[in-house]
Amino acid sequence: MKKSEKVRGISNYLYVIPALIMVLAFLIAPVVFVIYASFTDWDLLHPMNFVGLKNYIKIFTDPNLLVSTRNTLIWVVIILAIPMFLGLILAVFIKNVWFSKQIKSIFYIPLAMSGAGIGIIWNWIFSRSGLLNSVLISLGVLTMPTSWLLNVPQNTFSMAVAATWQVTGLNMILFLMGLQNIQPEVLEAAKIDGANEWQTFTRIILPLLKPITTVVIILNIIGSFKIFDIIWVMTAGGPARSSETLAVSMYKESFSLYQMGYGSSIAVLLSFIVFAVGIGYLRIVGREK
Amino acid sequence: MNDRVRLNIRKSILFIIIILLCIIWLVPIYFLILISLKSSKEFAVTSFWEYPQTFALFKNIRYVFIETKMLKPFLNSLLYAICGSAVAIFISSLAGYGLTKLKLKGAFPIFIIIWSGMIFPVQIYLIPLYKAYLTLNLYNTKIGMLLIYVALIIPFCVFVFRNFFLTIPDDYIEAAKIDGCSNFQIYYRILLPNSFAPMAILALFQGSFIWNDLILGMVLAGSDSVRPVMNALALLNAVYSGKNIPAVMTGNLLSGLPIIIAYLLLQKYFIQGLKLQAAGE
Repeated sequence: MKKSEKVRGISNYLYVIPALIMVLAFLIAPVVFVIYASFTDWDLLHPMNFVGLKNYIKIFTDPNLLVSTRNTLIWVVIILAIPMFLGLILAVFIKNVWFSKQIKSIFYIPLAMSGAGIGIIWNWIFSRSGLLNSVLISLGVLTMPTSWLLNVPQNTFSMAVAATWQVTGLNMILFLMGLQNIQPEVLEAAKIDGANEWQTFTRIILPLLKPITTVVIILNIIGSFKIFDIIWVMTAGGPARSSETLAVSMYKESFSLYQMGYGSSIAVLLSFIVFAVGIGYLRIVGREK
Repeated sequence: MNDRVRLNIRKSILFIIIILLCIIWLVPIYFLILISLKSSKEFAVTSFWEYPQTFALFKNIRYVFIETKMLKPFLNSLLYAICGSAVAIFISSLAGYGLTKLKLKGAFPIFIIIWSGMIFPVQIYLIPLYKAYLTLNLYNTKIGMLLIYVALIIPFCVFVFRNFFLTIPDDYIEAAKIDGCSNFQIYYRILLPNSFAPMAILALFQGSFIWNDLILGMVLAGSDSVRPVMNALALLNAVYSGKNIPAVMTGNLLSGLPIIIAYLLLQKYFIQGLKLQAAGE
C-alpha cells in the first residue's frame, strides 16, 4: 500500500518532466555553454582555447562594436521617446473622439505583422524611388531623392520609424490598461474643482499613470535591445556595418565571420543587459502587487 | 451653449490629429496591397500611387509561390506554427497541472527553472544550438526546427497555465478525487475543458511567434525544404527588391495572411493576450 503510493508520488513528476527536459536541454544547457564559449577563441574549425576576458575587452575596444553600441543606445532613446509619447497621447485622448474603437484597431494591425514583413514595406518606402522621396519631392522639400538607408545616421532613424510604426499600438494598449485603473470619481472631482482639461492631464492623469509608465519604459528598453528582424531586412547592418546594433553584431560576428567565441561574448553581454533590465521590471511589478 | 461649441471645436481638432495619425498608419498597408495588385511591368512604367490598370495579383502569387519557390517554406511554417504550438501547449498544460494541483515537492523551484527560459533574448541560444544541431544531425531538419520552437515557447505557456490553474479552486479537484477520478482523468475531464481561453491565447500568440520567426531559420535551416516562411521572404526581398517590387510585396502579403486570419478568428482573445504578453515578457 505504502509502496504503491510512493510510486504514484513519483509518477506525478511525469507531468512536469517533458517541459522540464525541453527547457533544460534546449535553453538552459545552451546558456551554460555559451557563457563558457565566451571565454574562448573558438572559431568552429580549431579546438577551443581559453582566453580569459579577451573577448569582453575586445567588445569595448572594437570600432565596429563601438558603432553598434552607439546605435543600440540611439534605438533605445528613439523607442523610449516616440512610440511611448504617441501611445500615451492616443490612450489618453482616443476615448474623446468619434469612432474610437475602429481607430484603436488600426494601431493594432502592425502588432500582428512580422518584423521581416514590416521591414520590407518600409524598405520600399525609404528606397530611392520609394514613397518618402516622392512625397518630399512633390512637396518641394527635396529636389533630389535621398538614400535614406545608405547614409549615417539617417539609416538608423529610418529603421526606428518602421519600429515605431510597429510598437506604438502596444504602448497605447499598456497606457489604456493604466487608465482603466484611474477611478472616474477622481476626474469628476477635478472637474468640479474647476480644473481644465490640460490641468487634469498634467496634474492628475500623468501622476496616476506613473506605475504603468515605468513598466512601459522597461518593456521598451528590452524591446529595443532585441530588435533584429527589421534591421536585418532593411540594411542588414550596413552599409559597411554602420547601422548594426548589438543583436545584429552578435549574428554577424558568429555566423558571417565565424568568430564564435567573440559572438558568444556579445550574446552574453546582450543577455545580461536584458536580464538586468528585466529583473528591475519584476521588482517593480512585484512591488505593485 | 458657448462652452459646448468650444468643446466640440476642441474635440474636432483632436479628431483631425488622430485621423492624420491613422492615415500615416494605414499608408504602408495601403501600398502593400496596391503594389501587390500590379504586374512588375506596370509598376516599372507607371507611378506607384496610380490605381492598377491590370489585375496581376494571382499572377504575382503564382510567381512568388512557384517561380521563387516560396510555397514550400510557407507550408513548412504552417507545420511549425500549428504543430509546434499544439505540442508546446499540450506539454505545458501537463506541467501547469503538475505544478499546481499535484502537491509535488520542489514544484516552485521546478517552475523557476522552466520560467527562466523566458528571460533571455534568443541570441544567447544561437551559437550552442548551431553547434549542437550540426553534431546531432539536426541542422537543416524539420524536426530540429520544431524542437527548438516548442522549447522556446514552453516557458511562457507553462507560466500562463500555472497562473490559470491556480485560479481553479482545489475543491473541484478534491470532489473529483472522491468520485474516484485518477489524476489524469482530473486533468483531461476537468481542467482541459475549462482551459479554452488560455489555449486560444497561447495558440494565437505563440503560433504567430513561430510563424514570424526569422533568426532561428537563418541559423538552423539551410534549404527550401526546411526554411521557414519569413526566411524565404527575407531572401525574396534581397533578390527581387531591385527588379520586381510587386513580387516582393505579394510575398509579404501572403506571409502575413495566415496571422491576420488567425487574429480575425480569435479576435476576442487578442487584447487579453497582448496584456498577458506584456505581463510575461
